[in-house]
Amino acid sequence: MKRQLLIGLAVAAVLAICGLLIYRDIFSNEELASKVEWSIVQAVIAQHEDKPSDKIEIVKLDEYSLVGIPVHDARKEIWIMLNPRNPPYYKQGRKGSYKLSKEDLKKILASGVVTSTVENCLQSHVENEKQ
Amino acid sequence: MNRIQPFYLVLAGIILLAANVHAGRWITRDPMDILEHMERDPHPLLDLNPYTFVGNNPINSIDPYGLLTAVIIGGPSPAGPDNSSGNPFGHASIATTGQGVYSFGTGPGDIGANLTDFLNRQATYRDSTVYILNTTPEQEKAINDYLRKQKGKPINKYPDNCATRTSHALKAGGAAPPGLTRMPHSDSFDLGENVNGNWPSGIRDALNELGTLRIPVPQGTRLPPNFLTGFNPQR
Repeated sequence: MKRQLLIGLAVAAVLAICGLLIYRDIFSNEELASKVEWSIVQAVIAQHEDKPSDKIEIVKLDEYSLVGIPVHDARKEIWIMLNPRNPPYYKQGRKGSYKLSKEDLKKILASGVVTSTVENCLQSHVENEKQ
Repeated sequence: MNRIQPFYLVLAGIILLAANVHAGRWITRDPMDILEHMERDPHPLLDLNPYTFVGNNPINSIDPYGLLTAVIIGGPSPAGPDNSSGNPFGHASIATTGQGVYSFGTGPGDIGANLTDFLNRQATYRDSTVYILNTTPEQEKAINDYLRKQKGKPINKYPDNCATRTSHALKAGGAAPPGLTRMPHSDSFDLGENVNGNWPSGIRDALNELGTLRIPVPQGTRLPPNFLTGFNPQR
């Protein structure tokens, strides 16, 4: 009886490991795993395309937070996913460069969801204040 | 008799020409300019002549509006040691005349994007095939209306994916090939509403059955800038 139980447990463990490997193989692939995240960036851009803001705004969609950063001369917003879980770990909607003030960065970090990769990228865009 | 024969031949030709124009059959080249540039700037990947848009049969095939819808089926993108990206299921997207490509989930700029640029980006990591369908203004409007409604909605998990959105767009326009609603393979798992239209490979199979024009864009291709320009948004 005990032996049968052990065999059952061993088989279950092997099946679980196989399942995990297959799941990892299929769903950890970059493009497939990040499809939902890219589609969230696409959706937020579409939802805000007719109402560009002149201040940074943080929005939440499903389990993701995004920040919209205004690019004044282009009358558009660049959207950045603050908490991506799949590679690439920095997802920016719309091409182009942007600038952030220290205050803006503080506000974004205060959301408490920013991953370290995104934080590093955002920090590299902080403007040096003029003395 | 010999002198009169050429006259009748020419007359018969003019009558046939007029009849074809009246019936809406194309005897001229496609105004979408998809293939016109191929003569000026031939591409080794494409073996096309000016009538391929009507299946090389301009007499019996009809493209009365000159409007086309492109369905782009991307193959699997295997993960490699120097390329971490991978997707065993492939990708599906759709483009209509002058509206650009709608590719859900591939990148932020791929909604309403320039199809030529999109194909070049896709070609950096996968093979694609562009399927060309003749569509009417009403069909294109219905397809575009559906796609615009989806723009602000992120894709969810199966069955909402790039393929179902492409299939639903075709269905909205009444341009879906019959094979879309069939089960993918008789030996496949039945995942409830598992039909061809839920998978890029299933859409590919359904379009292959239709025998519509296919343009392969293999991985590594760099398309000429004026390729398929009729689909690109007018800026």
